[in-house]
Amino acid sequence: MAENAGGMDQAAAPGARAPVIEAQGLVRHYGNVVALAGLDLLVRRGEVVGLLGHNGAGKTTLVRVLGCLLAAGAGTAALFGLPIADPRARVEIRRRIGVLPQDPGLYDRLTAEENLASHGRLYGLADAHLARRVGELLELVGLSGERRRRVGTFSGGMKKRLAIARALVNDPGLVFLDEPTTGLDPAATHAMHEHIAALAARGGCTIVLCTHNLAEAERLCSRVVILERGREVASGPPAELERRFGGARRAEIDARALDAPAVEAVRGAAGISAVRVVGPNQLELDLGGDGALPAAVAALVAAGAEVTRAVEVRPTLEDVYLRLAGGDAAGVGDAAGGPDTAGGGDAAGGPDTPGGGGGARK
Amino acid sequence: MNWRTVLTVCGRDLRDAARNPGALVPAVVVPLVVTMALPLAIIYLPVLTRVPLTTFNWVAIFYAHIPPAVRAQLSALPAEAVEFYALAVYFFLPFFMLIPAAASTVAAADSFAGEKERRTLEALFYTPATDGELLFGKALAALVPGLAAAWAGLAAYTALIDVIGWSRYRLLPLPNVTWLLAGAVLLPAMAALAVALTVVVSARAKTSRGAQQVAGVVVVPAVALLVMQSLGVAYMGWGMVLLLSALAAAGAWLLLVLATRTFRRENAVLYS
Repeated sequence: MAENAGGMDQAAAPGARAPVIEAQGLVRHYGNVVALAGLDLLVRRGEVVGLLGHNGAGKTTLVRVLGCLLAAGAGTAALFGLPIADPRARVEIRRRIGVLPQDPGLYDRLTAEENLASHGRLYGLADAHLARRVGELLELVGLSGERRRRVGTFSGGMKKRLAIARALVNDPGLVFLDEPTTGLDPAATHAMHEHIAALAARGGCTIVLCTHNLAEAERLCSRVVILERGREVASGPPAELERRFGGARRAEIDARALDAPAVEAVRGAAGISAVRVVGPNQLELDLGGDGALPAAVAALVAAGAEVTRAVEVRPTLEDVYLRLAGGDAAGVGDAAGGPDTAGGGDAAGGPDTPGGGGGARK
Repeated sequence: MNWRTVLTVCGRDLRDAARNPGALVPAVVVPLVVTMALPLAIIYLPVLTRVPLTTFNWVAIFYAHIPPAVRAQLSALPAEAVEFYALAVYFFLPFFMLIPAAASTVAAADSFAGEKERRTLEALFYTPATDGELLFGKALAALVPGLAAAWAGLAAYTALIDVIGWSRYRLLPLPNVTWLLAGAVLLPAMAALAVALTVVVSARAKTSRGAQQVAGVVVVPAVALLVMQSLGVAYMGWGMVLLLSALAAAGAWLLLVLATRTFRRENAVLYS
């Protein structure tokens, strides 16, 4: 789970932030296809948690189950301490969450303002407060100049921004953003990142972000949970995951006069665990410790090579993702067809194999 | 039931439908044809050209099958006005059942199956609105255009018939008790039946057009009644109006109960 059993214990620790989502053993099937296979998740107030995984990994299904739209086949979950299995609690939960679905699902024939206002009324917001709130939100997402324009004339990026505003109309304590930048061009994606970052910076709001975009997760999320076939395979802050699961520390060296003796000299340098010649004047090294790169450079210089560039390459979240969940990305979920189309199915998963003490589970 | 929520859902759907030409056309065209074009062609032109209405075979059949009680009532009228009165007051009433059936079916299909099609339901389902509030609000929104069209059509038809009747025979045939009852109970009941049937069908249909096609069967009773009336099997007196209203209302109620009990947000999202 996002935080393991030890993490759960921390919920009671003095000063720990209150849990907003507590889910244990969530299971959801679409026919014979497993979408969630005993998933645990703990999200605390103010966190920005990224759910990563390929199509059909279970991200959307998880949002729909936690958003009280789909019933879980097994397991328990509570949002704000309210159990999602209780019909009365579900109404209160819905009152306190905001959701941006994969498809913005706006009313094209209504204006931006009308879309937000009619949505806000469903939360029982008083007209005067709602009018103010709609104005603030349109300002927040940069659409105040378009408030009286019909949404059908909006670009995809504008629709996504308006849908984010709609998800915030009730001032929710928890926001689910399901692939907010899918289908957007780079400029619109950048703008969307700015909006999400601003939302997170306001504080008090917990965000669960489903995404395929690893750079997005790295930039926006305080913690990521990597899902595969409805199970968590790793979780933690991006930097920690990169350190723990990004593979060996690597370095790239460009050098002139890079002959065989020079390469052999590097192989013999302290802390160098592997050397790969990737070009006539370029080496790639696996580093075993902090002093390994200077030692390698010194060995090359001593062997008569002229080093023009030497940099350590930090592992990225992409390295972590490809290592932990990327192996069988192709076709996962797509095989399921219906459920995947329904937004969150998965290819049949194997038996649940909950891991031990957090970090990666496989 | 939170009525503000119901009215919000209803208001949004009405606003959305008002900007949808596809939903507006049936609400305007059907009443226009039924209340203006047909009476002008069937009643006014023969009256104007002084061609006896019974010259037309189907009118002769209709006229020949008028029950004795109605015929006795008609005998009090000037002889030249009898055919006009019989057609205007009795023959046309079943046509008005088509108006709410057609307009409400289109509006309801657009509101329920159409939302599935446009994928606007998921965001709606994350709100605290209950299933009952959502269903009731959307059903109300679908009911309004059909009923408004039917009442407007009824008023226009009444005016047209009275203008013809007064100018030709110094008669004001409408409104009478039967037509007032039809406006007050039959047309709302027919609109409710059309909406309820469309709601049930929409739960299984993926597109609004598919829902319309299936729910279109709601016009069958109106057409059947036209045929039955032409053959003298049934006649649109106030008793028939009340009976049909009761049947339509009961059907609508049963279908709405069925819709409420079988409605699942999950299915509406997964199978869209």
